[in-house]
Amino acid sequence: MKLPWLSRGQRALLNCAPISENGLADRSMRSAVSRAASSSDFINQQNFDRAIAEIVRLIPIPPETAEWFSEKDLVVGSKWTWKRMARNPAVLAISIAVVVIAGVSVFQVLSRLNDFPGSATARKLLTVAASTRPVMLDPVSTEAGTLSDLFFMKHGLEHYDVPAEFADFRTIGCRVFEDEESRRIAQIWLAEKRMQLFLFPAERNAKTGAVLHFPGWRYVHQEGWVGAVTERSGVCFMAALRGNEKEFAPYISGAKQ
Amino acid sequence: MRDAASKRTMHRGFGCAALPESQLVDAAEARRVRRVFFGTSGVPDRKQNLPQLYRFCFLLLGDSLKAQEVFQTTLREAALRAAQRELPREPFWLFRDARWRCLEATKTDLQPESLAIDEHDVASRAASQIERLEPAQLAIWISGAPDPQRTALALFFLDEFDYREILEIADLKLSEFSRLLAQGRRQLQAWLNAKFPEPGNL
Repeated sequence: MKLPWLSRGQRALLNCAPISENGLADRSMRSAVSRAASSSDFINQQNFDRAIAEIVRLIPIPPETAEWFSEKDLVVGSKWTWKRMARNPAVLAISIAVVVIAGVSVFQVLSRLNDFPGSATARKLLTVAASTRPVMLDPVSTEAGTLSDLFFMKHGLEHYDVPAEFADFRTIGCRVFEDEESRRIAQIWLAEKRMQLFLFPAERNAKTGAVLHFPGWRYVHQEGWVGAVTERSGVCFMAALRGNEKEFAPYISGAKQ
Repeated sequence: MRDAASKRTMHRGFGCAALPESQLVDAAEARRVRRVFFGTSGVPDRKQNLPQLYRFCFLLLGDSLKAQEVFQTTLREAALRAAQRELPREPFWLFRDARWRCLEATKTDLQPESLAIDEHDVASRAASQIERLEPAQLAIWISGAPDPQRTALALFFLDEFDYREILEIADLKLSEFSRLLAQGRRQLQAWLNAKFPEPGNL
């Protein structure tokens, strides 16, 4: 069967008819091909084109050239592994940062777990204890428990009482000073283990002004010093010495951390 | 008439100096190129079909070593441009680039004489004649055609692009492309008839 009559444009398109059918996306091309589909000339052309395309597909790719597009080590996504990702400098840096942040956060949380009202002041006073020398205190040789009267009579400090656990120890000296927040603090130096005692106002609620109580004994640590803190009648008492909590075991029983 | 076709064929492959194979592949460079073309920033698959790019070069040059050289130079240059973030945005730039390199590479080659080449109507037995061809013979025949016919035939028989894409790559008009293809088929048929004559015509 001969080719039907076709316009010049359709003839031009027919000459460029796709070899495989998936190239027939173009409407004008589809139209031209459908008109000529049954003609022997067009069938010959298609068979000719397919045969040539088949030969072209058989063109061997030399190994040296195949190396340029071999898929054996395609990058990015094709061989995703944890090991490979862990070696990525960005991932490594982020991981280290996250670990450090997590560590600091855990440390903060653990520190906060041991916090109690007045713990910040207690820590500051441990620093004071570390830097205090005996000459800085007024020499007083008496039992610690008797100094409550001195504080009340001389300085007007009510309830600045030394707890019974430490009341019987001999003192070397004492003083009353104000901290940076103008709170009056009593400091007593004992002969026993060169222990220092502090009495200071308990922390209060900022809105109501009520004393923030806490039960029993609590420990604070600062620069190698340890303090055992308790609160009574709106006044905190802290016994401080260099060492660890075990140092207080002979004096305090059943202390909470 | 058969002589004219044969003459054109005989010129194929001339002037193609053999290159030492050691110069052709640099493994590190090949890896870098693969990253460029297969990585996330690569262009869509069909437009970067590298085996087809090599075949295109082979059809244009008719010589495996020369095709490899052009193919690798094209990719090397593309990798360099990718590293500098200067990859062209237009599609098919890789094929267009390779085409110009192929034409440049054959500029100094021995050129076929401008002879009137026989043309025969495409025959029904053409497929069986073509089956007897080696890919290299076909490539040599196509590479011997003057440009732009050579480009048109190579791109068309790659069966990789539709006609609009071919027009874009080869900078041709539809009428011209159609004429070149039709003429190419007829010339190829004449050459096939000369190469594989019917037993009765011997």
